[in-house]
Amino acid sequence: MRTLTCEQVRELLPEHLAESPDSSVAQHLATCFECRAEAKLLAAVQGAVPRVPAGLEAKVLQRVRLRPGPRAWLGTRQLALAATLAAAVIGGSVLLRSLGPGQHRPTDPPSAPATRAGALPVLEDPAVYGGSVLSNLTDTELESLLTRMES
Amino acid sequence: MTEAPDPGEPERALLAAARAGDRAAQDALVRRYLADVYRVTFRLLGRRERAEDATQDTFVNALQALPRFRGESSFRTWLLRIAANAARSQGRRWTRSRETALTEADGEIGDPADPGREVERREQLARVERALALLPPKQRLTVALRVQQGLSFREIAVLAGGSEGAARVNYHLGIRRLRELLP
Repeated sequence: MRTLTCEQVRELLPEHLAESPDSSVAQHLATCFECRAEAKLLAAVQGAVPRVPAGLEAKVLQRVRLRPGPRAWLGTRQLALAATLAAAVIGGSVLLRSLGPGQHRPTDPPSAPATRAGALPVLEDPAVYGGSVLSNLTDTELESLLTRMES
Repeated sequence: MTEAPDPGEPERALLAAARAGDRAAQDALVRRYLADVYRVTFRLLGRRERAEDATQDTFVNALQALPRFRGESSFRTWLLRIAANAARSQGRRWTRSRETALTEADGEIGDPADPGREVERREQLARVERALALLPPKQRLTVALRVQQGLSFREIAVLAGGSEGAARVNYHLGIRRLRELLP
């Protein structure tokens, strides 16, 4: 059996009280008034776990079922992205035609990667352009985006 | 206590099915984590109806964001972070009323066969709730997550967006204050 310091015992107390009684912790508690007092306090806090209100599960399930599924959500986003790209391509071609064949400037940028079959462009603002770039974000960026979308 | 309450179905398979749009799997995730999410939102908001709203928001937001969950933390920690954010959003919408919160707090089901013991239990519960409500929010949340939810300091740091050291400090300050409040 290990001999534990007060600091080590207090670190282990939540697990000792909740689910994994530790004989070394128990031995320490038998002889240490301060740690025993803290164990008593933590046991009281553990006993004050808020009870889940009756009916909450049904409410949550109902709300969750009313929302579109993740695939549908991404589909909507990608649909919006496709519409944006189509508008850009059509608008661009109309503009080029209006300029005429002789007015095409040699310094025009090369075609965007988005025009390649099956490729999606790298876009700057995921809040605007949606699903295709969301997978590149970190959890923090996703949280921030989620908050912005909610507000 | 850090594991999911019902380990019956392997977590990874459940998440994959939920991510693929399987409504039964999504419902199972709700049932599995409902109590965890409610407890966190209740600790942050202090009122039952607001915690209920935040709990609903949490699951809607989480299932919406599920395709982007990468497993960098456990699903439970990721979900509880969304819960904390949902509670903050709720908190901005409502003014917190501590007095009402104290009367609404409830513990687990007691012993109706022994009314005297039940009264004593409820009094003790109310004392603990009053003491917890007097802690600053970060200390209250950290103590609740560590003692009631069994989260490690590392998990609390991920959830609360701070460092592991800050979580330890908040916990120890909270416990010290509780010892003063609950002699």
